[in-house]
Amino acid sequence: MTLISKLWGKSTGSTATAEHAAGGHATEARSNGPLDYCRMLTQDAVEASDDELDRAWKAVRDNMALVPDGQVLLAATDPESFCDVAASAAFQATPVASLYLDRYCVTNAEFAQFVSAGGYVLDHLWPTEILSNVLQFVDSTGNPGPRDWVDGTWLAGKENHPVTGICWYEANAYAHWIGKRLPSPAEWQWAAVWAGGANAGHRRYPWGDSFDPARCNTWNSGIGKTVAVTDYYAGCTPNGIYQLIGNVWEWTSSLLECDASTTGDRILTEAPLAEIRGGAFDTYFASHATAQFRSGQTLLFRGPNLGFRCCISAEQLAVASPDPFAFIDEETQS
Amino acid sequence: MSNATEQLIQSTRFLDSTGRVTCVCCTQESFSNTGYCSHCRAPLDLSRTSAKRGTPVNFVSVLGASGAGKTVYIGMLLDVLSKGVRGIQGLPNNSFSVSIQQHTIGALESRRFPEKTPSEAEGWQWVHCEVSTCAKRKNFLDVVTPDFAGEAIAAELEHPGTHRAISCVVHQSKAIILLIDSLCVRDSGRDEDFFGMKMASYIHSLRTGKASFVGQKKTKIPIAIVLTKTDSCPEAMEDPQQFATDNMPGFAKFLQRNFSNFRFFAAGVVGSSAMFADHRGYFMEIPLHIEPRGITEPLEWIILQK
Ligand SMILES: Nc1nc2c(ncn2[C@@H]2O[C@H](COP(=O)(O)OP(=O)(O)OP(=O)(O)O)[C@@H](O)[C@H]2O)c(=O)[nH]1
Ligand SMILES: [Mg+2]
Repeated sequence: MTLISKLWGKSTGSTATAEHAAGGHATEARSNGPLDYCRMLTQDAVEASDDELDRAWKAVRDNMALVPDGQVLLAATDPESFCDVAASAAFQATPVASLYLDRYCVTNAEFAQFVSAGGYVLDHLWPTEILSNVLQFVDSTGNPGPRDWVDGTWLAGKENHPVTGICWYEANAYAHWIGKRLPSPAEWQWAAVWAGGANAGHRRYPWGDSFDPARCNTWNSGIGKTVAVTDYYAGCTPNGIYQLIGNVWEWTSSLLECDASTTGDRILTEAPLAEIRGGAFDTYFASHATAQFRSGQTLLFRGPNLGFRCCISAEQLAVASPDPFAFIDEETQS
Repeated sequence: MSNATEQLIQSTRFLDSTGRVTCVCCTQESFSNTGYCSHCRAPLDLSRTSAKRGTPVNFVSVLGASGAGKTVYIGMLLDVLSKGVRGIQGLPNNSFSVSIQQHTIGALESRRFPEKTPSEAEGWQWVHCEVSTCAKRKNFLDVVTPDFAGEAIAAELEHPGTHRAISCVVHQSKAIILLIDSLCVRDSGRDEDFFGMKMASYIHSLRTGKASFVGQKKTKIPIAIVLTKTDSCPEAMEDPQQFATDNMPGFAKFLQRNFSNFRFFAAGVVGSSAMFADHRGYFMEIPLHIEPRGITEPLEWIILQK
């Protein structure tokens, strides 16, 4: 028995969790098949058959988009630049290595696989300093899982909506479990703008520089809640990454650390904040839902407007396929 | 007399040929070239606009202690109304009504809160917003209120008559939006409870014309009590009525005893916040991003009470 399963006690062990998820809605997840295809192409690559590797590569292509390497301009975080949202005064050039990024945010149905596999009781997924908090990562009925679930499962009709009500640690645990990780803020931003070519540096949205409420779910679209991760095709990046802007904010891998200004002014927070990106269905200002806008939430925040997507460095997958760009050639030929 | 004729007579009452204007707020006359009513400091444009429109003005006033969030709430309300939500729309009737909206929205978008309202009546920004719920039914409600300074309200409660504008607006109002800081209620003792009681008893005595409550009938004026900053006080967001009853027992009892038509609401505009600390050690809360919640609900309720 793992330490964390002992902590959970008898009623909320992995078996109970699996039962809850199995007893949930019988609707199918957006993506069929196992979620850990990246693991197959990295750690397990040596033992895998060609057939298995082919299938794993197909899963990568279906579920993730390749973002080439480049250099992204991150908005400066000194107080003056940080509060000058519209003008975004200063930028820092940051290199980004090529990566595969999930086309969609992780859905409720996908997250349920993590819950039913006993993700909340696997010691290696949770840093020891937050073990006591893990016991509070429960749904509205006390079962381990996202805060807005009921009786260990998502609300009816929301299987393909982004999972929300999960804190930064839960997002990291899931990513680790399927052999991926959270993108850094620079990777996230680069994925949104790289296709802008020469203008990529200052591009505000995946589709261009003007806000368009028809391309993303923010306050201005008047929906007021999440939509399925496959909606808003018009807001995709040219390489098919959905909803980087709007629907839900997305956790990134880093903490939001603000620099001091030259005069010594600072931005301080009571607890550390992880950087979040992209804005959500309830984000009021278009300027707060751009590719550049940087905000944060405390690491244990489990809100209804914050989800995540995962990524993996292209270099890591290159172990299994010497040319990470091979599939681009394949696709252009077909 | 037909309804339309009555409205016309009412509206022309505000302008006469001698260049004087009758103020819609305090009903006193002022010379039209002064810009503001010399008695209550309400902008005379307000009276002119309502005269031109030909229908009487229905005041809805917004009150609350200093720092309760009046400026943020009013500015955000005007902006949300100007975009229109759930069939309710509001258009500013004068350029001065746009100013408070612009000032608040500009600040929030740049991750700042608007500045504290100056305590002198000359510095208050007035709002006149014509709210309609359904285009066909011409169902109008005017939100007319100055953005009062909380300190002025506190002074008026202690010494009625200090600020004539406050008593006139409260007296004229068809409904009241009373803002209460949920964080103060939760974290800072009973101050908001006492302030709420004083505010309610002030409204009650102005509306009934009597200072005593003994043997008085309940006052019918609709009062929407809005718990502000509930983005940082989830317990108030979840159940504002219960939160108020548990944490402001005096105020809740007073309302029950003396008012027949009130309801609790929860509002908040912040998604996440941080502290700005300048090099001299001065601290100021800043919003990192804005997610307005519960802004129009009180007004929607008030409209249904008409
Ligand atoms: N978290 C949070 N803080 C808020 C909100 N609204 C206002 N505040 C905080 O409350 C402070 C006061 O807000 P104001 O709108 O200026 O308050 P006011 O009632 O107009 O105060 P006076 O002008 O002094 O009468 C702001 O500076 C913010 O720090 C809100 O929705 N959420
Ligand atoms: Mg103010």
